[in-house]
Amino acid sequence: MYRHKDSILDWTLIMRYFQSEADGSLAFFISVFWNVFMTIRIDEQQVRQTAKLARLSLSDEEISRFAGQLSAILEYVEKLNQLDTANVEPLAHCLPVKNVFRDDIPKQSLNLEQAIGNAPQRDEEFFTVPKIFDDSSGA
Amino acid sequence: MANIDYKVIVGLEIHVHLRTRTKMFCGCELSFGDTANSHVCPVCIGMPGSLPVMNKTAVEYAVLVGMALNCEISKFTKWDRKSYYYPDLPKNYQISQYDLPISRNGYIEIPLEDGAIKKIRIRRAHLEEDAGKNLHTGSISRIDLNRAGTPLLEIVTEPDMNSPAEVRALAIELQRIVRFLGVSEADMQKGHMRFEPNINLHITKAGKIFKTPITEIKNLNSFRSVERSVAYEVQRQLDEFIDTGKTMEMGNKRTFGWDDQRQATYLQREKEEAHDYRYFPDPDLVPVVFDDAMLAKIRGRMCELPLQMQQRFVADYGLSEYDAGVLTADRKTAEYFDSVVKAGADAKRTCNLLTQTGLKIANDKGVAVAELGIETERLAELVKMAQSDEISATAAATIFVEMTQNTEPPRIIAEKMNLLQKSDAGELEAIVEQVIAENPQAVEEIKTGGKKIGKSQAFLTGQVMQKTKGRANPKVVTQILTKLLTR
Repeated sequence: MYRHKDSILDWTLIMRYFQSEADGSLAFFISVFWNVFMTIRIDEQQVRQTAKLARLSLSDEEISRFAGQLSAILEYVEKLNQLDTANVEPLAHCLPVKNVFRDDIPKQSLNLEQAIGNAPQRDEEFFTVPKIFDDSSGA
Repeated sequence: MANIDYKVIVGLEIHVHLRTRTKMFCGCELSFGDTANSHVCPVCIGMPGSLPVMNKTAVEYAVLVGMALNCEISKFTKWDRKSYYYPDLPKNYQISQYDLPISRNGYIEIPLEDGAIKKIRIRRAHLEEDAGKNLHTGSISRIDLNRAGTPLLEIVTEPDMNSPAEVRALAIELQRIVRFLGVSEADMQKGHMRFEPNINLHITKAGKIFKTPITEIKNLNSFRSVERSVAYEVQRQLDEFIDTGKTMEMGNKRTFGWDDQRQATYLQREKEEAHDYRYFPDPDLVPVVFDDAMLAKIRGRMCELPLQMQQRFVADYGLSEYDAGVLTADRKTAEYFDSVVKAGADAKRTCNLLTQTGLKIANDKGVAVAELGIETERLAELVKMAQSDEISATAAATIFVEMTQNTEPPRIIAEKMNLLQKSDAGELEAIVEQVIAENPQAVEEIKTGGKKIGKSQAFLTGQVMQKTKGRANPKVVTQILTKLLTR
């Protein structure tokens, strides 16, 4: 299980990839890399770009190491390309389940201490993070 | 350069908060203005291992809007993760819909200023979750996740709007529609609707068409800022083209913000490369498959839409576009008006009572005019009394006000307030005789056909009204005056 504080502040896309691998969701893992990297070889420039997008600061040694490791993973996954999928419908979900709904009825939320008790930084009832520059947030 | 020939091209993205009780994927209650982080749970706060579950009502609302916007509803739809890097959505992704939106290929009809109706195509409408709020203070940003996970409908139009006024008209029409459907409060002050116009110009110069680089204005939350920012951006792009000759092929798409203080747009970022959101299917959520029965059930909740109702009020009831627009601004008022007219009341008189007297009281009380406590039948009776000249228009308004706090029939109230008009010719004739006797000069003027004949007639009528304390039926008074003066 992961500590709560990690989930709020420091989690980044790459950590998510590894997390999902740890969770055993291989399909998830594959699909992410499929979208991100179209070629098998991951060069250092691609690692730098991904790290930048994920707001990760990596050392040169890490960049070089991750480039090698990520390439090896993708080479392994590349085996899937040997399959002929021309007549296979894209799969939206790996389980034959649909329409799992919830009625629109409120449930008890967490109390404040449960919600932010583990936050590395807080200000009263708020989580706090270092000031966001160039805020283009907003869903 | 004032005579430069150009066409404005605008497409609009609209985010609408749905009015469910709970969030899109968890049971936390929707709130506004509550203590920060008091409506959060492991799902909307992004705890590992938590699982989202779809809010059925939100999905149904999204389908209903799709139907109202004449869209094709997807029989099969699914959820995708869109990468996101700000702490107001701590999962690091937003649950959204990428390639299979709930609805697509529709259109919305908007009323233009000249009374014409224009069709704007809808490209798609999909469901997603809203982010929380980042509040920047000093060297830190504070995060409130109460809003994170609110069901959000994103509606994308085709670039079919050609003026700032059309963009505004679409925004207003969409607000009316979602309110009529009851799927959103669409309260601007609470950020229930946010707009993002995409704008460029097609400039004709020396027989060639030049397209200016597209700009997007982010996060507008009022009709006024939508209209003004588009107008500003049109001028800015025109100036820029004249200065630099830059076209779409030469420039990247740029994102602008709107500074309400300065009434100007400002550059936020220029996209060096297309954003890579790295969409992929969300493994935590299963697809939605609609069968005909489900869709029929949702369609059963469809109501007459505001623009149709407005047009019907003009065509069938003879109201002006303006009056019909005021009455159809909200559904309760529109339906109330409609049922009063259907109960036999004259449409124009009912409209005047509601818009001139009713809306003011309703606004003061903060309720809809239909909620003032006057039942349809009672209001219809009041209007009918005015129609048959039992009471004057002024008296009708006075009785209307009284009826909001008095449950008696209007006739009883009129009697108690002594507002029934005297139409009894015999009684009025005596009073008219008296007025004629008291005002020989005016009578002489009329009889000799002098210049002030109209004024004198009005004067005599006024005298009769004064003697009857305003309760004489002016039509009857005029008839009697004419009769007595021409004998």
